[in-house]
Amino acid sequence: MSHLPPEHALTLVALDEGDAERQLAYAHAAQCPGCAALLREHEAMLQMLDATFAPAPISPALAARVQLRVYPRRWPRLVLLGVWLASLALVLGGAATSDVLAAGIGAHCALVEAGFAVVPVGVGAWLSRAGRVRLDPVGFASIAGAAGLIGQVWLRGHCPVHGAPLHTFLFHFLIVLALSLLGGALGPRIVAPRA
Amino acid sequence: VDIALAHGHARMRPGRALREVVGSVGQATDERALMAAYVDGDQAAFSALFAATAPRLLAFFQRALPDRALAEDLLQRTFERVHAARHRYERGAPVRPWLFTIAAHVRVDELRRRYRLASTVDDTELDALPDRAPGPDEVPDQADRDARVRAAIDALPASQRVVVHLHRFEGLTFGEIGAVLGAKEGAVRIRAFRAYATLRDALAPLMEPDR
Repeated sequence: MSHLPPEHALTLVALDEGDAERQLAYAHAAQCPGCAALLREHEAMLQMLDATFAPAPISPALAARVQLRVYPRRWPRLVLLGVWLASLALVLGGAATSDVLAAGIGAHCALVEAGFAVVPVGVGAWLSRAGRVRLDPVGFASIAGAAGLIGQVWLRGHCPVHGAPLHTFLFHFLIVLALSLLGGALGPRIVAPRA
Repeated sequence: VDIALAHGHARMRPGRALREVVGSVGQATDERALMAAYVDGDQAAFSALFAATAPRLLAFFQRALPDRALAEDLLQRTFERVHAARHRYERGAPVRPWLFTIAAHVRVDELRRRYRLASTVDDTELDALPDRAPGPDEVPDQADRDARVRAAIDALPASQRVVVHLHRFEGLTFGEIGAVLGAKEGAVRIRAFRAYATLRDALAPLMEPDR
């Protein structure tokens, strides 16, 4: 074997002890004082390299941050949910004394919008089941929402408290939104063959 | 076990040397047992695993990116991903290569996000990104030897620096590094050869007797 190339001496000493190339180099160095000196010199260089490594200390703040991200505490979420529910209860409780949130009127509006949605969704499901059209959940949601919207438009002339923002938001806007979600969830189930 | 165990680590010997002194088998077995307990829902095991591995992972990120705050963010992201993927850990498998695989992905994702690169860019293109680390020649002569050695490592192309870090300081084999980085073992070996040759040139003046 020829002498070890100096430019690769650091690599040779850095290789795993079981590495064939390293073993070959050391076997040669055992017979060659010059190459043995070269390897010794680069072993010292490698030690110098190794000595610069230190694991980075982790600050208590960082450790706590990671712990919280991985295992978030439950109580802040429960408190937040409680705050929202309490706030909603206060709004609804305060408004319940007026006609704006009267349950009867709200139920009437919700039923009207749902009634508008039932027939198109039913027809869509029937056509889909018959293979005449292909509707996915978003398709059903669109039909239900659009039909609910038509109901909402109809209510502009038939709802006794239509001008009240809270009533309109809760029983007109949110009901149309809920109808869309329900249509998307239930429509495909109607179409799917029963087990 | 308190997560605060991770704090205030004294300077430790490099990964490979540590393995030789402490014994890699016992350490690896401990980490595997901790990982198994963590996967089973033991929060104390997570804390112990964090204490054992976070300082090394943070050192990996600091080696890759000179910004300490960013390195800490990446460490946090790594453990979030570890937590999300913990049930995919194969019981009994070495823990560190698995952790470093996730850390390496986090690092590359950050580089791609930072430089708005496509997900298909390879290490050659990542090496071409601007690197703020000063080279060994830019470090003042009066700086201590450690600083000059660190500067020599930091001056390596990113793809070589990562290989040297994982090989020399984490004691991973070229095969394990290949698995971590998603590269072939032969390619990793070539990178290591180039890196050590460059380091040899950079460190040679420090080996002279008058230094």
